[in-house]
Amino acid sequence: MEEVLEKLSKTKFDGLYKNNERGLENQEERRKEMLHFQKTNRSILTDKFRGVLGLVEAVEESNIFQEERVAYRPQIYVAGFNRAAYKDVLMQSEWMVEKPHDFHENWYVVPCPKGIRTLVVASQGKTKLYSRDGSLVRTSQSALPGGNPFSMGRNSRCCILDGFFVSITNTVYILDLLAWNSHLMADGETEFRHYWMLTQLEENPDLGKRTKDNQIKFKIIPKVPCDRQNFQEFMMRFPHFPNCDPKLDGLLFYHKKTHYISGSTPLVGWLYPYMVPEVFGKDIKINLVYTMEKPQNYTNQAEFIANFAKKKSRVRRFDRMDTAMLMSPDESDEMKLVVDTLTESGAFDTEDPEQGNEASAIRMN
Amino acid sequence: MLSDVLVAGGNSQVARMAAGLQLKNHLTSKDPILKQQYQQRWLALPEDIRLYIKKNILTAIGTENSRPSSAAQCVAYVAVAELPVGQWNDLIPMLVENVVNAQSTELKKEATLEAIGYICQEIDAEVLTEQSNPILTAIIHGMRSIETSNHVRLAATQALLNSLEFTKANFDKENERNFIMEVVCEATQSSDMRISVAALQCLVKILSLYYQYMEPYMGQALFPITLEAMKSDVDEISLQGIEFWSNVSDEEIDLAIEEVEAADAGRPPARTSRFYARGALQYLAPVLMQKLTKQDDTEDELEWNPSKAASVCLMLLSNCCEDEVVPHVLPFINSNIKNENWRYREAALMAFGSILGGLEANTLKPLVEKAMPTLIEAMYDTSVAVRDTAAWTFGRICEIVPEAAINETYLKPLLESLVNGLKAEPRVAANVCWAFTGLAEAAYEAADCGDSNQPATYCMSKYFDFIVQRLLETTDRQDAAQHNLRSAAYEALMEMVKNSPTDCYVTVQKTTMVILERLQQVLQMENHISSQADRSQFNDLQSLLCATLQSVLRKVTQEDAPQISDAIMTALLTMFAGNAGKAGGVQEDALMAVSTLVEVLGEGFLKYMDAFKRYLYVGLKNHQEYQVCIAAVGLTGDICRALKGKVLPYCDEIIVLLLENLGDPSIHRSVKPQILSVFGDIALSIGPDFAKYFDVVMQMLLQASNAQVDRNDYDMVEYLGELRESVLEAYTGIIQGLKGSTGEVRSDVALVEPHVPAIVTFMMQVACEPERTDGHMSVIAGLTGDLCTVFGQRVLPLLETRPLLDLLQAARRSRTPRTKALANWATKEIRKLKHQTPLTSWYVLIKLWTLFTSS
Repeated sequence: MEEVLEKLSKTKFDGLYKNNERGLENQEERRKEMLHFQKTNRSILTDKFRGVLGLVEAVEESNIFQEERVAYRPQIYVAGFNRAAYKDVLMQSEWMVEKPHDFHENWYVVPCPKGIRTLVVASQGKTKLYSRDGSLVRTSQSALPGGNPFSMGRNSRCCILDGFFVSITNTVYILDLLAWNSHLMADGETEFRHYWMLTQLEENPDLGKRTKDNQIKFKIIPKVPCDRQNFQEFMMRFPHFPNCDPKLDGLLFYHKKTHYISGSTPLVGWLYPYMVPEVFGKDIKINLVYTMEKPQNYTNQAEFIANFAKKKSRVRRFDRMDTAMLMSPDESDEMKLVVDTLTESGAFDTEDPEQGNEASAIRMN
Repeated sequence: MLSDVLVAGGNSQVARMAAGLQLKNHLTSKDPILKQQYQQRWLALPEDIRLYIKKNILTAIGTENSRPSSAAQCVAYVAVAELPVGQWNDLIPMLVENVVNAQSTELKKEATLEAIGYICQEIDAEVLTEQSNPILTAIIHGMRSIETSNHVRLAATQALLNSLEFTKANFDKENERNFIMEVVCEATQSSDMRISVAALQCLVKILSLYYQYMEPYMGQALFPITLEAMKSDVDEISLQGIEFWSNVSDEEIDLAIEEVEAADAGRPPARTSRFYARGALQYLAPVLMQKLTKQDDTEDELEWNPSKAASVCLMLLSNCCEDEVVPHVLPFINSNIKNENWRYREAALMAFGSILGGLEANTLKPLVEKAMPTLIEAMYDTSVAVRDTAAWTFGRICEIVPEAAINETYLKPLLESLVNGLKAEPRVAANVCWAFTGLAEAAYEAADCGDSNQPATYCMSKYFDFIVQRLLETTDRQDAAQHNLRSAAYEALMEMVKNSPTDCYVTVQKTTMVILERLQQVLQMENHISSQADRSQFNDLQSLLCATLQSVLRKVTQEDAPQISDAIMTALLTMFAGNAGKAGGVQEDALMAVSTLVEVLGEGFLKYMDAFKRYLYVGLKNHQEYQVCIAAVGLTGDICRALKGKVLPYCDEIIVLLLENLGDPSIHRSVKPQILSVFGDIALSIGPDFAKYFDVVMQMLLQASNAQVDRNDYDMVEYLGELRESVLEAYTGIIQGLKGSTGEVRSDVALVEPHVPAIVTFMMQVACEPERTDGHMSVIAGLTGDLCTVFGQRVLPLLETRPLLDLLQAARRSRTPRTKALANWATKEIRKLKHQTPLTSWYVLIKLWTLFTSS
């Protein structure tokens, strides 16, 4: 029994003390490195035989999408991993450059207020707001299930919403729902998620008011179906938010049947109101105010988008995290050049032959 | 007969104990193979003899006057042999009876509980799960505070510690769990130190096994108990208290990772953290920092004490609670870093170094930059402990916030202080070496590569030669065997060389020659080695030199390599031939050094092949030391790539050895995937000459593709993935090899055609796996393209299946460039075949028709 005691009274963490575990780690590292070199050399040779080595190298050089996964170990730990958790969760739109063939049957239009696009996470008694790149914008408490220290079962209930945060009025304008009361909503269709949000907010009117427990006001942004009559009415309406508070930023178009998809998707489109007639047809009349918002040197949408991308990329080139954001809703010039070169060399086809789904149907004209 | 001696109360204590021990040694052994043999031997004895012995040893229980009970051990080891095969089924009930019976004597209860403890420890959990209730009953019975004998309580508590894994079912039931927790917590308060230590150990283990159940007990019981334990002046108790919270933090760090992974995958996590560490932090921190100041005066590095435990706990807490740790620790650091008493200075430094890992970048950088002058000063402190910890802290800084370390303002004084530290006591010098390791990497990463794949210069260029010289000197120190200084110094040297820019190449060249010289010197000493201790140091040194050789060879240019290769190869061959060459560690490192040389020389390695090949074969034959085997297999692949067709004369022997390895069931499983991949390498290098090995290799691949594992074992699932990937790599190599590297497809590849359906079926199988990796996707995509280019349209119907097409679609979106490129290429190849006019299918006709009518 004595040896049992000896063995067990030692800790299981003695390797972590100072540099205790170093020697062993390094031999393992060397082995892994050797295997890695051998695998790489094997791949290079195989690709040479295939005649595709040039292609692979071209793609490697052009790969702007490289994301570094932070290796997480007790000794060598990079703090702030939470950022990675909430980054790239939001469903991002792409520019709406052409009218989808099922626009009037299957789409909603949503007016977006000027505010910070945010992921609202209510759990463990706190309500936290995260920005697009995953950084924490605010910690607060709310009447969302799990969102304040006194909410029942706060440790097991969790809600995740997608919305716009307007800080002056402390309001989140809810765009979408990912999870409610620990039930995943992301795999339901837009129609269903919207209906669910409406129901929950009706049942919890406190969420719309500032109370002791609810420090953030929640309002749902309406989703308006795009059948001809409603859409026309919508485009003539001004303002969309009472007294222009908050101001309208732009319009999002949601496909009724899409699930909540992280990252950019063609099933959510974005436009400024003054672009509507250009894309959806000159027969749609828009309120004069929107037409007046058109920038002075505006020629057409395509040029606007190209300039928009250039501006964005110039500002953020040095910030690696944001290159992921660059890809939505527009393509940067760099990427365009790469894609063009590769397309010319026959590497990629712009059509995805396996796409039978609506996304490609929408994109093909 | 031995058992008679044991049971007879009249015999002397010593005789009985000796008899008991001898009996036990016939039943078990530390060597697992022997243990199994002994167990078989026991079971082979006739039943009546075994019954007789069992009766004796059971009766002996409780009758001995000595502790620990030898009878208990005998009972236990017989049980370990018999219970798994369904025998001696009445043992457990009898043991339980011994404990709960009020008439049992103290000795009887104690010995019985000891026996139970041994059994729980040694036996497979599944065997006992059915009996977990009575066992637990007995144990808890013995632990209760109303039990008068401390010996009994101790034996019971230790038995509990061993039984925790298989009493899961009991922990699942709230009532039973409550009861167990109550008894354990009570036992922690015992006045007998050993009992409370054992009880605390139980709490630690319970927490790591059953974290999700701890909520009701944490606030009222676990927290106050463990906090008090931490504060105790009795080291053993304090250690357990600290261990508890280290475990909590470790567990919660894991849970945080799970949460991130789940969020990434868009699903809720399987388990959630209760943030106990965060809640307890403000109470734990002051106690931990106090314990930091209770350093051991001696240099005994093996001794685990509360000061060391506290630093590790602080580190884990910091990683768990991140920035929240700062307000609780920083004041202590600031007020004590210049304290008169060395203990407080060292504790402050230790605390600082420990919390670095958990801090957010914005908090971290300014903190460290402000602290740099003080830290550099600490390198010159009068106390050796302070200098040791300061050196260690710099190592942490280099890893975690390297920008602060290579910051221009402090670089020179930092380097001066480190170089100075290389001359200090071994423990300090060793930590300095690890700091250099981090510094080398940090400086290299920060340097600009421009257009080439290596930077022209970096911030340490003007100090490079100087540092390397000092490190070489350090490796030569007489006392370098202490605190692993020698290996730390060589590792630092390796990292400096590995992370060196172009303008330091001259020093790298010089260093290569120095290493070579040392290797030659060391080899000459071979015959003068006498003692075992000397021999093992000697072997370690050879290993280290080989490893260093690997890193310098990677930096040597193609022009320089041939000039030194003769000398290097001669040295390595001498090493293989010598005695050290028989030692596994040395063999592995030497083979890896040859690998590096092969890579650099390419075809130029051919001239050494005849002299070297026997050592390659020795390595391939080493089934026991699998790391050596893997190094040899990998080297085989490297040689194939370097020599290409010229490797043919050696292939017969190599293939035979590889097949032997595959046929040996005792070989470690990680060797198999490497071997299969190398078949592909061989095929790629000898092309059509591979035909004679084709059948036997394909058979092996088929066998491997049918392998199955227990899907519940994560390690085995991972292994299966590797195995499958290597099978596909082999197929790829064989097809490419037989097809040839010129544009034309050779006829030899027709050999493969009958196997294509099976290959494609296998590809689909792998494509459908939920655990499919990016590696699988890229090898399948490549293989798809290969099948198209080689076999043309007739293979199309096999490939155009849902699983493969779905895989290609997913692969086209892969974040790995090669996977993406291969998938696009394969898709293009498929499409090319579909549009070939000779074989116009209905499908093509309909598509054309639709296009014409819709425009």
